[in-house]
Amino acid sequence: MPIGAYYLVAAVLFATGLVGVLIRRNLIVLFMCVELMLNAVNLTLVAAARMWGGPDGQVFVFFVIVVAAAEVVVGLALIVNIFFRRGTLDVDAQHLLRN
Amino acid sequence: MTVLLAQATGLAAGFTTEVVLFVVFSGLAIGAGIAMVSLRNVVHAALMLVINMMSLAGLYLVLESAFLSVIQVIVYAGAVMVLFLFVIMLLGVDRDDLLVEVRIGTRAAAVASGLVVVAILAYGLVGPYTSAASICPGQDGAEPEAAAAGSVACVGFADTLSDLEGDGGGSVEIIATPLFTRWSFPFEMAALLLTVATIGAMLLGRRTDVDPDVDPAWAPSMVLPEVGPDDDVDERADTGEVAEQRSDEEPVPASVGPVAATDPTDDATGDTHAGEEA
Amino acid sequence: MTPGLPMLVLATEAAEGGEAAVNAVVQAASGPIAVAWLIPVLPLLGFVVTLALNRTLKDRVAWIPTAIAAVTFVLSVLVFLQVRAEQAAWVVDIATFIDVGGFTVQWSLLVDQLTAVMLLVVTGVGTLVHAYSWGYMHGDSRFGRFFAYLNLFMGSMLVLVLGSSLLVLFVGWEGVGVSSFLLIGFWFEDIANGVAAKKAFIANRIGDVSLMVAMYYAFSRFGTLDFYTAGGDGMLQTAGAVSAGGALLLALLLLGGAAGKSAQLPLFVWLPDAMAGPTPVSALMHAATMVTAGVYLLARTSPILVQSLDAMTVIAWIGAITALLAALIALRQDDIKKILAYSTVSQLGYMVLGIGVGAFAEGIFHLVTHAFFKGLLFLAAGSVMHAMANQTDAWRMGGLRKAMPITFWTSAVAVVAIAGVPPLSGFFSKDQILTTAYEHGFTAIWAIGIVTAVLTAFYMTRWFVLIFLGEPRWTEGQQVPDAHGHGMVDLHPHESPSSMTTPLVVLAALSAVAGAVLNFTHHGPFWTWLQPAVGDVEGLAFAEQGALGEPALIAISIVAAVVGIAGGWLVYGRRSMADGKRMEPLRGPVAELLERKFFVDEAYESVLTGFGGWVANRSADFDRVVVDGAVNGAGRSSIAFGAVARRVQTGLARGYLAGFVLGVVVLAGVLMLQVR
Repeated sequence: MPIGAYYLVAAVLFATGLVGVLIRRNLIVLFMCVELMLNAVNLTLVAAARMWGGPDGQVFVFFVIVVAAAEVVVGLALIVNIFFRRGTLDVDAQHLLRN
Repeated sequence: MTVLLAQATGLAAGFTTEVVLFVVFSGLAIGAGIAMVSLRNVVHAALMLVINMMSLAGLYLVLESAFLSVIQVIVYAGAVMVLFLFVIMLLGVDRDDLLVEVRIGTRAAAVASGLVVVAILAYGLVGPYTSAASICPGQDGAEPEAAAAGSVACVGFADTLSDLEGDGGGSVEIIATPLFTRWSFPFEMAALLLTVATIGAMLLGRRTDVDPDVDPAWAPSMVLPEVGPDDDVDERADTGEVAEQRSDEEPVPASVGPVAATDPTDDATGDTHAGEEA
Repeated sequence: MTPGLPMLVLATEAAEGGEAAVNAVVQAASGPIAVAWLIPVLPLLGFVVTLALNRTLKDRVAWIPTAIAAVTFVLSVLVFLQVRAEQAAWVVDIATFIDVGGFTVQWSLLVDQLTAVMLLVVTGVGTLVHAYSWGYMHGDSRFGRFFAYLNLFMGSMLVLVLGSSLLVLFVGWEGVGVSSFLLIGFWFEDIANGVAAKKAFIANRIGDVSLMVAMYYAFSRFGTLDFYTAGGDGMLQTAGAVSAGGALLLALLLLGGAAGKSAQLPLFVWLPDAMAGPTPVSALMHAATMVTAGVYLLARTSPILVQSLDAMTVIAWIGAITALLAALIALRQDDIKKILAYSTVSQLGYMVLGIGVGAFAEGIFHLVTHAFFKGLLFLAAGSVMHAMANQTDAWRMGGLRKAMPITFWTSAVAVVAIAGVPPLSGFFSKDQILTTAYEHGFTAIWAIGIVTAVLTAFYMTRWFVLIFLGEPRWTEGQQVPDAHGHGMVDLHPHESPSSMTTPLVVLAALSAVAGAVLNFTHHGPFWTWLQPAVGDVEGLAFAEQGALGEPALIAISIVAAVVGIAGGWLVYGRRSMADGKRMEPLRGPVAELLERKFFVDEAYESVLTGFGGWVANRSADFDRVVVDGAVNGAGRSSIAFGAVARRVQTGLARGYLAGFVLGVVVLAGVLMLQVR
């Protein structure tokens, strides 16, 4: 398959994650959608690494996975914290960013 | 490995193994992704994401990145998603059907913007890599074609891998060598980041059952004092008045006044010359 | 002068007589000159340290600035001795001040004969005034701060006289302006003092602008602001290359600067008001040092002045008219410090006159002697005020001779000195200026100078008589308003403490002998000493000298002084002044004119409040309608925009996300279009 096909899959996955972020109200699902978008980007990086035959793309994906793991850990901890404080995970329930 | 897979699937000629695997895994990934976004049950959504990530691991395998594929399964499909499921179970939010956008207009707009993103990416990112030249030389013997004008030829890892095969490293070595040489500092930083994230998560995860309405300590920076604009004006007027009164009462600074007034006979040293008339 | 008189040699190897030696410029330094930078730096440091420790050490903090003043005096003496031993213009680079592209200004010092003289005057009188202030300012609530300001002034003044370029000089020039402002308004509790400080500052600013323009012009002409360089391309070394018109313009701009600082026409109005400051300040700054900065500037740049005889003529006339006008005003002032202030303006006029007629060394000579006797007069006035509960009205004094003998005798010396009676210092310096004026063909200016000398002797006698002689116009124990005008204190005239009388005695000794010691004959040691540092007047086409010879000129000077003193004695000393001001001999419009200071203040006032007020009002209208309109408009439109924009800030995270996505989409679209 041409590399473009992989790019296309990645683009579709990215857009799917994006739509999910926009239409879901559950914080956890929102977070999972973000993970989906990250994975889509990883796919493009892996595909590009093969395209150019160099290792840097793969190294980059490695780092993205590490950072994503750290992010998930902290993000989930935050979600747990928010749930304990507010009793809901609905991002629309309270205006999160308003005092 | 891919060769084995291709033989096992036993597909008709004309379809290379890569094509088949690509179609299967990408279909699964996209299908699971869309399902995740649309399923109301959170646990189901999480499981869909697991499928999505496994499919991506398969795609990485097709893309000759076996190491990343394994990592993807272990870290993402394994650890990360298990963490997600733990949290879902812990909070008991596995079934909140209400937490989906209800307004049709917003959903349509979101989907439309998603399509626009796909269109843009398809135009800008996918476009240049669709020619025959960007079909990579696979390990199943497919030869690369000469790059046509305006498109880019794929290099692939076939040669690198066959060179490395003797050392037994394979794709692990492809990623390991730069990771521990050129990228060693970011690698250490990543380790540090993980440590910090762990500590941070422990700190944040402590169960603090406080009602924000009761406990004033909650997010103190967000609580502004109730000061109306009228109060402010009054305050300023008050202080102004006070200052005026004071200046009426004692126009002389107390610091220099009393010295000369009290002891004029102390002739050699007692005088002050403050306010001397020129 | 009369041949055969003893020549007191100041150990200078320069040639005697008209032949002016030219200094070699030495760009390196050893010995005391190498550390000459300490002279201005120490007082500036002392200013900071004193302010910092003011609260901690209370009044004891004044030891720091006083000690620093004394140290700078010692250093100055060392520098002077080195210059005397190795006559040259020493240029000492300290640090880079400005370095922009090809334009470099160094913080560097210029030490030559002129600088050495100024250093001695500034640090010497400065040290005495520091000592005097211990007594005079005793008990003031801002005692330490006063000394800090004195040090700031000394540091600035020393930067001014040590600066090796017009720009470094200007830094000190502004510094003394600031410290002058701070010290005039030192007792700012009284609004009048603050107003006087502002007046001084603004009048000085006008002169400063002129000096700044002079700097721009000098830079465009010479490509440098350095006075002297070892390479010979300093502005004073290449002054001959500038055209006559350029030299005229530059000289007039420099005169503008000098007129501001040295209180010459038309900017002299600030100096009498500056007497609002504490009296030691009046002595140090407004008599001995700061106001002479303009004269120093003109003397320093005299190699440029001598390129244009027209410019020098203008300078001479400005000086002469200022001298005469101020002397006339001084005739009928009642405030003992105001009389001295106008006297200072008048004497500064003499110095500027001297510069104008080409008597550069004589002008500086008068600067030095004037620093002694006028500093002394001010300090004596301060001593009198100290005794008289800060009263300054001469008509409330009289007969203080018995109560304050030291002040009386030292004042007597100063009065005789300023009047120009030989052999006291004022005679030598003033006579030598006037003699040069006559010899250089400025007969009219010489005549004005003689008239002014008569007036000077007259009003100084009046000042002296009204304060110290005659019967007292006060009674012991009399109730007088206290320093602030609230409440009353008993009047007990007394001699001042020794910290105040010691400087009086020192200055009296200097006033008495400095003239004879330094420059007994016209082209004596002091004159010769300064020749390498000032412009050479040899080539100037002065007008024909009048018929009088030097002995006749000297005789006329002496007669003028004697006539003035005798007149003053006849009018004020012989008659009883017990009835106070009614005993003034002259009445009618002329007296009114003198008392009201020729209505100069009123004239300025009406011009400034009339025309200036009109301009200010129109500017205010413009500001209110156009500028404020624009500013308020900007504010209102921001508020209006905010009212609309705040609707976007729903606090809904997904709303923000949507906007974020929109932005990303647009950016990605643009990016992709560019990539393809």
